[in-house]
Amino acid sequence: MFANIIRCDWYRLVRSRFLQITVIVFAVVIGLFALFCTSGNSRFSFGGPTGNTKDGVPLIDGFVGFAYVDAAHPHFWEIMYSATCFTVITLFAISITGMIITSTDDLNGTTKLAVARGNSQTLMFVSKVILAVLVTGVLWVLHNLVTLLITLSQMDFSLTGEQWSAWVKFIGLSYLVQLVLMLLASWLVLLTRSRVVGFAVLVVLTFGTIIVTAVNRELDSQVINTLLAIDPVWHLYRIGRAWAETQITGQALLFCGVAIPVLMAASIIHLRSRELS
Amino acid sequence: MSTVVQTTGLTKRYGRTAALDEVDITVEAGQIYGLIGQNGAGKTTLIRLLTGLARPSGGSLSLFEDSGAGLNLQRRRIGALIESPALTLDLTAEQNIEAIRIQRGIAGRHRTREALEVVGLQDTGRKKVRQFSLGMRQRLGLGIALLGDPELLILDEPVNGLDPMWMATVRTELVRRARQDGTTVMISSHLLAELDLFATHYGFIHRGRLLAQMSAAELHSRCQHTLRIDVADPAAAATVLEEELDIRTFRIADDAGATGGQVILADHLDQASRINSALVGRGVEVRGIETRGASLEEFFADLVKGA
Repeated sequence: MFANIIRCDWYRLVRSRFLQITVIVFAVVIGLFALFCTSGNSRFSFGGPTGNTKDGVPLIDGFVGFAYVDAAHPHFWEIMYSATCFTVITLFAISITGMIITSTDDLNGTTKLAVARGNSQTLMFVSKVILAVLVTGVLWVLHNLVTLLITLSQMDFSLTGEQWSAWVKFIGLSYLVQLVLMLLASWLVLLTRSRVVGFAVLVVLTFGTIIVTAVNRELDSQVINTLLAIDPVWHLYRIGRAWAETQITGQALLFCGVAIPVLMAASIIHLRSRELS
Repeated sequence: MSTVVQTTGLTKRYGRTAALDEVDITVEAGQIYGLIGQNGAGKTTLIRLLTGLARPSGGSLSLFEDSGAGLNLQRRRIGALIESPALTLDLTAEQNIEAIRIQRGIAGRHRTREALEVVGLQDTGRKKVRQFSLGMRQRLGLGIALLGDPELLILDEPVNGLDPMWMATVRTELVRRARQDGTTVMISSHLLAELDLFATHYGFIHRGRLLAQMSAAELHSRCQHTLRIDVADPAAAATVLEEELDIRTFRIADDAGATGGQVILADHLDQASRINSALVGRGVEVRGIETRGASLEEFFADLVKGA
């Protein structure tokens, strides 16, 4: 029966207007990236250098692209920064996609039909999470592959096997953190039955984290540090430095390892007591 | 005959409010059970409890003589239309039904086509549901409920938005399924006259309580004949009936917007002449006097007033 639920959700998803829009937005984002990449003097910045360097490469907070110390001889991690600088856009795209996939049936009432036929709300939610991970995961990999190839082509750079491996780990870790954000947004929509709330929290988290991080550089408050440690956006901002500050990888993995099951459990607990109108 | 739906002391509270209060209903296989009540009486709450959309605060319910852990399994035998039809607006009618067919694991793509034909939506082609009228959406919701020939149909206001022709078609289809296939149908409605055309049994709900449960035959026999007297001054007429004729079992129906009203007696039908003389003798203007049966709406109104 679970297989039937997934098949049904997939059937609806591939025929939905939302997926068509997603494909168009994906193409537009890639197009924008290509424009940035090929425009010569453009620099993309949502964040900035921390002031530290490793091997001559500035370590960054956030997402900084097309800012090379020596453009004729770019460093591998400068290439990575550029190829992944649009993560600030994908963090919204992935979360919104997940939010919409997991909430559409609730909001249009089709969930009640399935429940009235004896289907478990939990299984139906898990089915949608699986689809959301599948769709966003594939788009995430495609996005990064295309932006990497564009960047490599623009900078006349090629990767070794080890560097490909580093790229895979880097985008994999970034995706896990964005998955936490997606589950958080989906959980909020479950609770409030409002996508506006889910989106608002995303916006507040994204911009609020920048402000709070900047303020806390001076304050160094332990309370703020603790709150930031459970903020997925904070972890995402730091991932660009993980190659140099390896403790960041461990912290992000630990964060995801705890946050993903906790958010899934919180969603399932809510669903088990939820009544449908 | 097996019991398809049984509730015992079924209760649903929201805070201090009892949306459903100690309701005992029994629906046997093959019945067309009409659940009657005003808006907010508790009909939809009962349906939500039967279909698992809400949990009871008290009492018990069983489906196909199975309760507790077996309920969800039995719900696979249900086709439901609950409040407004639940549809995916981006899809066509066929795609909406096909998605449900996949979800329910019903073999055979022809079943989708059959469901469309029953509700007359087989020619909608690539038109998306968001472009459908209210009536077309209602029909699609019905088509989804009927998909796979479920053994129990639970339909909440199924003819909302339908034109008279489609109301008749739906009625005919439900009666056919009940008689030929043994399908049990539970319909909630506030349109008693519409249900009267085909329901076999009734449950009357008011303010969360089940007032009465009866067969259609019993309902019709209880819509008894009454003596109705149109008078200019109902209060004066009431005084005459009580003081001069010692008749106390009557009710007054005011004629809203006009002077006068109607005195309605369930007894003393053979004393129309005597009552008329007494009223006229005491100066009460009698505009008309007749004996006729109560309408179903009047029966329900009396039932509610007595509750």
